[in-house]
Amino acid sequence: MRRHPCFRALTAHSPKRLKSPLMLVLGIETSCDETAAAVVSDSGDVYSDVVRSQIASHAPYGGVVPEIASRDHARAVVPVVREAIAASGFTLAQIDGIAVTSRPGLSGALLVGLSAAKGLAWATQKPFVTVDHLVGHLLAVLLQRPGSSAPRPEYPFIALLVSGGHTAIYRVNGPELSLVHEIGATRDDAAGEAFDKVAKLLGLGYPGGPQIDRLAAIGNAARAGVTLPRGIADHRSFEMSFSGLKSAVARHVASLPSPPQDQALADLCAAFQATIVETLVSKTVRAAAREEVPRIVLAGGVAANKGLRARMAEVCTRRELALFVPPFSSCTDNAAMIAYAGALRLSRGETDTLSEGPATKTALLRVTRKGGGKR
Amino acid sequence: MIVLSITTSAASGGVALVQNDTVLAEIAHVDPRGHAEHLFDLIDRAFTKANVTRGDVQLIAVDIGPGSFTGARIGVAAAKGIALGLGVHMIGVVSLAAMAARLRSEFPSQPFFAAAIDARKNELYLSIEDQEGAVRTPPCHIAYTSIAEHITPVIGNTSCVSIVDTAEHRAFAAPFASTALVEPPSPSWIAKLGAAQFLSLNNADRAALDPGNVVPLYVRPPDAVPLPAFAP
Ligand SMILES: Nc1ncnc2c1ncn2[C@@H]1O[C@H](COP(=O)(O)OP(=O)(O)OP(=O)(O)O)[C@@H](O)[C@H]1O
Ligand SMILES: [Mg+2]
Repeated sequence: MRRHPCFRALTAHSPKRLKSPLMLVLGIETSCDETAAAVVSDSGDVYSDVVRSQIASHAPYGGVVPEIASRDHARAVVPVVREAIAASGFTLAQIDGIAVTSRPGLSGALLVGLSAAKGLAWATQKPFVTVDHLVGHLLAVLLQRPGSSAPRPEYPFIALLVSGGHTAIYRVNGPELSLVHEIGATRDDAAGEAFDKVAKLLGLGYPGGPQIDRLAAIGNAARAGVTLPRGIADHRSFEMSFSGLKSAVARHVASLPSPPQDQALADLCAAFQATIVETLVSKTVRAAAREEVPRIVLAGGVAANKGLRARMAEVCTRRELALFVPPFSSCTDNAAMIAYAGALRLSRGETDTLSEGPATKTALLRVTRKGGGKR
Repeated sequence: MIVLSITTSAASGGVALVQNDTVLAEIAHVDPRGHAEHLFDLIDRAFTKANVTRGDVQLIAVDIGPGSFTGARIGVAAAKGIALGLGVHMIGVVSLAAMAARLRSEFPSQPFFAAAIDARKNELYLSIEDQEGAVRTPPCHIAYTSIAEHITPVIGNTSCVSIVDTAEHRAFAAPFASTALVEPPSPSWIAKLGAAQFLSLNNADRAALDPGNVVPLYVRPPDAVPLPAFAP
């Protein structure tokens, strides 16, 4: 059983623990291809964080199959929730509220977590809150995991959210939907989607991001012998585009006598990754300058990318910007970020009714229009 | 024993509270796209009507399908959360079995009972049971037009009574059935069959009725084609 050090201190020094100001929340996340549950307090302390990945179920299909995701969630949700409660060192009775991802995501997948969370909240008569998955990602940097004492950013901060389904730069003024402002986003593919699609066409398997990252580290972009387009390189725009980049890689590969292997493959991965990273880093850093906010936060699964982390760190040091990079477990999908965002909502006195339904789109206001054409 | 039942696998769904075969409350609603939004309101109304409290419930019986994949999962996941939260047993009830059980009680002299539910794509989920409740044709998916091929070999030259979930299906079932009803699985029959199945188990088997173990009965595999490298 994993117990946060604070837990013991708290029970030892606070005889009326149940009345302590700490709010403990069970979070549930089933928006895509991980079934996850976690117990987190409104101060961000992570008491447990259980993630069951479905990657093996989807790999044969080269991507997430919604019906398979929903079936896996239906099987896993109870064991995962039980494990999260047991590992937290608390009992269900000691938990103050239930939080669940209600959007954005696959509606059939979201419905599993949402329905189970409602059932739990109804049966235990605990307050219930829904969380926007993207708000969860943006707040993940504030989680305090056992044994880590990484500094947390103050508000406001500039966040680069890069995941399999989303890529956007936000100004985060506080932990509420209305305090998060999109500065710019992709007009087409998400960065993670570009990584996955390029990996697929290079025969690297699913998910492709980690494979490309690994190969890029031993490749040399200059030697790849290809110039790849940086979508919307315009200095004034914070919008991004990655579908042209993916097509350029596809055309380049098609023009070769045989698919690139070994060093040539690594060099091409390096060129592709460098192009994406350059777009992400330069736009994020410019957003920080325009907003006069000297703090940058990385969020989402692609924030695990070593090339992105290294380049962002280099540029931030040069520009005297503070960079906050959450640990890997906080970047990819997890329920700790959902529990935390939910705990903050509950501590503000917000709750939702059990008639809440799922939604495929985020509730964050979008300023970037999807698709091509003149702006 | 007080049983709370939930059914959301068909276009109409609902909840019931049943005590020893007495229906304390049964509330149904029709909205195939609104099960998730309405379910807990129906539950609250049923408890008010039955004048019982959450703590009185000893068993959760849930319709596991076959039917709508997403619909069945809404009810099953909600029931899992409730059973986990209340710390009570949970039992999955096959939608078609609940329909057949109802027919058996209403037409006790009939030899066979066929139940069918829309499976989309011009197909039905079908199952056939006999007078003793033994399953003669386990839940399967068949083309609308092949219903004769599936029913006649089982019932021979007798007739059966059937229950289907749409008027359209009744037209297909009518030639084999002396009586064909149009009814989706009812919440109270999910509860009654769930209770009967629970009571027929010994203590060891009852202990296995855990919310972690109940999954929907899909009958049909997901619609997805593996990449060539993974194809069998
Ligand atoms: N080291 C890496 N380099 C690049 N991409 C990576 C790396 N590790 C993971 N990824 C990518 O991150 C994505 C998964 O991230 P995440 O789990 O946050 O996304 P998601 O949950 O699918 O999308 P969303 O959160 O937008 O719904 C995949 O596209 C994967 O390829
Ligand atoms: Mg995510």
